[in-house]
Amino acid sequence: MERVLNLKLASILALPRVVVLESASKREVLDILIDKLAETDFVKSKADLQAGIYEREELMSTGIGLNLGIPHVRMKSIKDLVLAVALVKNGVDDYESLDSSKVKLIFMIVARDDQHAAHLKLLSHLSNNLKADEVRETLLNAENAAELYAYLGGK
Amino acid sequence: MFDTNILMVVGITILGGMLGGVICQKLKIPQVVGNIIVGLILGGSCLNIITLEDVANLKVINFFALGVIGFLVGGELKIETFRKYAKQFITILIFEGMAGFIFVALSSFLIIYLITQNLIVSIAVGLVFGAIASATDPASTIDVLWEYRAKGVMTTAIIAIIALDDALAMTLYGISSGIMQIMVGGGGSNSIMQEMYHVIVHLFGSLLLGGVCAGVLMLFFRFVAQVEKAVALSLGIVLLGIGLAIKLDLDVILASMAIGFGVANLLPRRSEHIFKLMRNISIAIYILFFVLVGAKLSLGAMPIWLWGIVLCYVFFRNFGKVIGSYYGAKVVNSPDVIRKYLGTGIFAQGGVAIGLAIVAGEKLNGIQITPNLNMGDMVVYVVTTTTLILQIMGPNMVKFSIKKANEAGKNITEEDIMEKMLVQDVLDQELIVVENRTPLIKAVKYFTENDVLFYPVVDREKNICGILTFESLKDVLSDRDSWQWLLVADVMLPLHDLATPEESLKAVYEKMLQLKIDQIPIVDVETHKRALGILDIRNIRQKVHTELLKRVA
Repeated sequence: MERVLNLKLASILALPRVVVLESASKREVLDILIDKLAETDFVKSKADLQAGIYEREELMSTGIGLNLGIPHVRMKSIKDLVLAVALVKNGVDDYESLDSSKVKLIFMIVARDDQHAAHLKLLSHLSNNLKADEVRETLLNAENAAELYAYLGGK
Repeated sequence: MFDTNILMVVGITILGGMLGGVICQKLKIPQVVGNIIVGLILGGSCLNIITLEDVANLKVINFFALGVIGFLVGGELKIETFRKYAKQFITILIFEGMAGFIFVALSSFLIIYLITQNLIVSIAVGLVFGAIASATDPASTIDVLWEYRAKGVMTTAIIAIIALDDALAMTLYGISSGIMQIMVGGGGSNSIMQEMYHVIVHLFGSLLLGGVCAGVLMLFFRFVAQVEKAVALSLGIVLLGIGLAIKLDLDVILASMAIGFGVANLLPRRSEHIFKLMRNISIAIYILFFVLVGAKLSLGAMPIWLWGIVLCYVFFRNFGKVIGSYYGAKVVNSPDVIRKYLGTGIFAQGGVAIGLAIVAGEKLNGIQITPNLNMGDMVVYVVTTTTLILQIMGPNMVKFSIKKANEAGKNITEEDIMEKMLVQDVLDQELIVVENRTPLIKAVKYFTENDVLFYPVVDREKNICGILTFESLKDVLSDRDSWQWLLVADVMLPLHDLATPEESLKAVYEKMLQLKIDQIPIVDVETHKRALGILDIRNIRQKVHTELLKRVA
């Protein structure tokens, strides 16, 4: 199964930024991911990041359908493109989604404000690869963070 | 008068010269005239703040200025233009130079003969004045051409003539001075040949020295990429060239002209920036030079009858130049504007004339005309006084010529246009703003439905927060599914900087180049938040170019 996964996210993802939860609200899961990102050197200000992520969610929910949520933001106070991932086994009830499906896999992408192309390429790369049912299935069935991280391209 | 040192004199000279220049500019008179009049006021003729001793001490600056002027004049001469018009220009040059020579020689011969009744002395002085009269002054003439941004066939003709006729003047002087020496004694039978030999060595030596300097400069240019450093390098070589010319007794202006000519024609593109920067940094030197020209002249010590010669010299020299260039231009079928207005554009007389007068003066010092006046002093007095008159008259006449020929203000660059324009002059009236919460699927339609490629993005409060460009959509164009869930906020470009409609277009353009951005949002002056449009760098260039074509046409 691992062979069908070709997400190649190792360069922007690390195991400490991958979490598997049983259940969580949208606010809880976003805050957890914000915390994880804020622990890295890439984020200069947690408050800025939090404001940016919620501001974007306020414009329109980033639940793009197929159980996927991709909260994302570009801002000055980020040093480089970086990613955090959460799997919520029971789904997030209050994460509005385009197809009304429960959001279970959340990829939080943050980038520096001038990383326009890299940011959009990653968004596109994720949505394209996660369209495949078997890829999503594999990820959704991960038992723990290490397994999920391995599927996403980590070791 | 209080005690001054040389630096104070330099400071007073530059500041005074600038003030004179500004006043003249307000009176719509070429600024160089103001510089010279200030020199006259500050110099020996009036206040004596700039003493003759100061002028002598600042001689080195004079040479420096002449070198820079020569370099810049040389830079104006393009080999293609030269090739194209060589026959025309040389014919006109010979006609105007010879006409000035003959008229001045004859008239001054007659006056001096009336006063001295000495045929030989009169012929000798006539010849010397005639030869000196054929020279024109590149410095003040070119200064006016630049000040009024002249461009056109008549302007090119003026530049070519002023660059070439120093050589003609020196040749005529060589011949005349040879004849003069034979006539007034002291010279052997081969004096003319000796003088001619001297002149030829002088002319070709100067050109050769300039050529070698230009070659060395080209060699060094290979290792220097920055324009500022290239200018420093050019200055160094020009100074070295001037120094060598003085040392070898060659012509400073001709040698530096050859350097400028070489650089401009061997490196046409790159040299443009070098000449431009050089022109900017040499303004203070120019002012200093022209103020000193005025300061050198002392008008008090001249007998009244010399004023007669002065007036005749000025009148017949100018008359000769007008008639000579008219017929010269007619013979070679030059355009009407050259025939009509070239003559009045080449009245200025400067350093070469004074230089020749001083050399002639030294040779003629032993011959008394009247008990109080020897021939050498007389030549120097007449030439310096006529130089003053012609320096004041010449630039005004250059202005007259270029205005009449409709060539003033034609040498404008896009940069000049931009300097005079404001952001609002190029801003499109049509304004479509896009909200940051607009889904991409809807935003993409803006590009298909409107003929606009850049949109200001605003937030809920209608405050500007970014720019949407077609370029910014590039990375998601192939992924149509993402258009459903991406918003304009996700793809917009962040705000690097803002500009307002009242800002200078040039300042904003330079800011964009510096920030390496192609678009800049324009916002209202009051809040700096309300979007009024987007300025695109290509759009600026296009509009400025159109404006330039409109003005030059």
